[in-house]
Amino acid sequence: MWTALCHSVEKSDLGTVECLLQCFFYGSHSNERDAVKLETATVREIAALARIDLTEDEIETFAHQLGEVLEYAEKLQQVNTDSVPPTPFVLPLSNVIRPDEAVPGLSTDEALANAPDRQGSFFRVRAFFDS
Amino acid sequence: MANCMSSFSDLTALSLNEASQGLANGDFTSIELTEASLDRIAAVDPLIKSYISVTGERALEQAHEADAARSGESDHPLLGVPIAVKDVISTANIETTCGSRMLKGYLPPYSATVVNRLDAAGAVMLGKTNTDEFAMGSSTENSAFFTTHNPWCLERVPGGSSGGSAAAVASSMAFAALGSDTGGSIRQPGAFCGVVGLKPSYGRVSRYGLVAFGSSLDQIGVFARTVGDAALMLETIAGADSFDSTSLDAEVPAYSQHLEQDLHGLRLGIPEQYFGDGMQTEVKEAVQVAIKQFEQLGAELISISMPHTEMGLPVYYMVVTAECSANLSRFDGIRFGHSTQAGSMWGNISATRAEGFGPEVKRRIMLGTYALSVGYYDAYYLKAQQVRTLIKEDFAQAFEKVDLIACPTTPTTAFPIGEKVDDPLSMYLADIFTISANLSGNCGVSVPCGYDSQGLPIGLQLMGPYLGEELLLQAAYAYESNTEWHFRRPVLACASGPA
Repeated sequence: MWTALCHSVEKSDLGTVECLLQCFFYGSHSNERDAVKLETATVREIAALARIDLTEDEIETFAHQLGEVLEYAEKLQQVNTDSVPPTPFVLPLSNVIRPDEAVPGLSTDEALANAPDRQGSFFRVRAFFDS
Repeated sequence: MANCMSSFSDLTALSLNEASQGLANGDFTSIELTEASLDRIAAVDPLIKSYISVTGERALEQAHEADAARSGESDHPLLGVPIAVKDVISTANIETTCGSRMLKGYLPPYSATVVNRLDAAGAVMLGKTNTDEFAMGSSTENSAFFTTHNPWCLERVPGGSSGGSAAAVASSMAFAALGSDTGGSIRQPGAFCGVVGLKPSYGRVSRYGLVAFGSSLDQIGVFARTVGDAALMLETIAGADSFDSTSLDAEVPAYSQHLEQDLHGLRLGIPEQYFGDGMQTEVKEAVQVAIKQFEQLGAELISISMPHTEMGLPVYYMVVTAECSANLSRFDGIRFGHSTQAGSMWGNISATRAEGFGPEVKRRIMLGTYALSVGYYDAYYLKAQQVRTLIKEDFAQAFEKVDLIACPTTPTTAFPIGEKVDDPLSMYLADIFTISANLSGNCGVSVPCGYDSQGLPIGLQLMGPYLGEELLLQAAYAYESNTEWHFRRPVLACASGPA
């Protein structure tokens, strides 16, 4: 993939971002870096957590692609973050409140209008538990 | 194929402000303006493919109402002006797909606050524009329906994810358009299509009704053909909203009334990290020329360093994938959207998501799920949030020394359709210069600053301090007023006869 990445850019008529790629993706040890494939078992586990049925082809493709992106994300380890607090959100806001006043909301029919399956005033789903 | 130049003698070639003035003067009606826009769409959209849906009948109803409502006094400048809305923004009872099979046919029960504000101003919505699926992408090639084409060269991408809106405004199929920007999805297609693309500060514009992608990064913004048009759009949609607790309760300046500003004394920061050797030479040169023009207009150029810039991309792809994996968990085939029956509740959900989501959406959900999972959270997600703090501090320190930052919007001009589609990392690179402002929450705008040897537009990015939209727009306006790039429009061959 790393080779493919470089190749696709070199052959493009843009032809000028090679150094940028070196800088952003390879760091200073570009030649020592090999793509790291994720275990397919791990991909299956993540797919189960994410509730997405994947085909065998998708599992194989994602094993490569996710491995490569994660390898790239390793770059973050170069940064010293000792005693640096995390920023999950940029605004200095917390506990935004408003007066507790009743206002009109959606009717039951409006809320259910897009439901694939309904029963009366409920969303209808398959049973959660086996009997 | 007939040439579409004839259409530029018609109403659609006007700027938004010119159209607004013409309506106010009684030179033409909103019905005429809307019909001209719909004719323009019918003539050129078969080539460009900006619109997922054109809501012509409703647009003409709105135009009729606008004409009837015109009083001659204190009419909103957008009254009767046709605009477009990116299809990740909810429109009540009008299909909102997010460019995904998952939401094909979905009719939102309510409208986004920005849509309500445009409605209240009397703007006419022409339709919903194409986007990468759930705004995940940089080219619109990830749309489940079709790829939008760049009006300057149909074989090239318009950028993304708001490529449909950018291309529609560039090819005069709307006077302005709404987009959303999570990592550059307004500024990057703005640059690729040669229009103004404005990402306001995080919290400046309500996101109620925007289908969530990366909640700590998403911001609704605007496309227009001039800075003044963008200013008018922003002041209409900005401001606190009780339906979005992340919208800021800060006064909204009348941006469009305060555009004229002498730039003498403006301290313009030039970050060395945004001018590496690897960029397309013509982009770098055009941006450097633009910066020189700022100096001639009185600005003081100051070299600055933003040392964590190169960490923007890895931080972004950990943060945004983690957030999207959580946000997109709502698509379960139970309450709305695509639904597949596979014999059990969990089976239905997994099958629904397998069928409804395209490859890039699956890839990002998988990556985010991994980054948030036990054992990896500290190494990826937490670490990324810590480095995000350093990127935010880069901006804070820069804005102690300078008033605005100037740099390229993108490292290259628009790339060919298909070139990066199988290569996610390469695609992600198109956003390297725009991502940091989303991570820090700052505002940014891309304005046209030249064309490369193939005639493709180049964008200059200005970034401002938090809630610094007024100064940002003033500087962009001063530049635009002293250049002619924004007058250039793509020449299109029509799909069927003259427009």
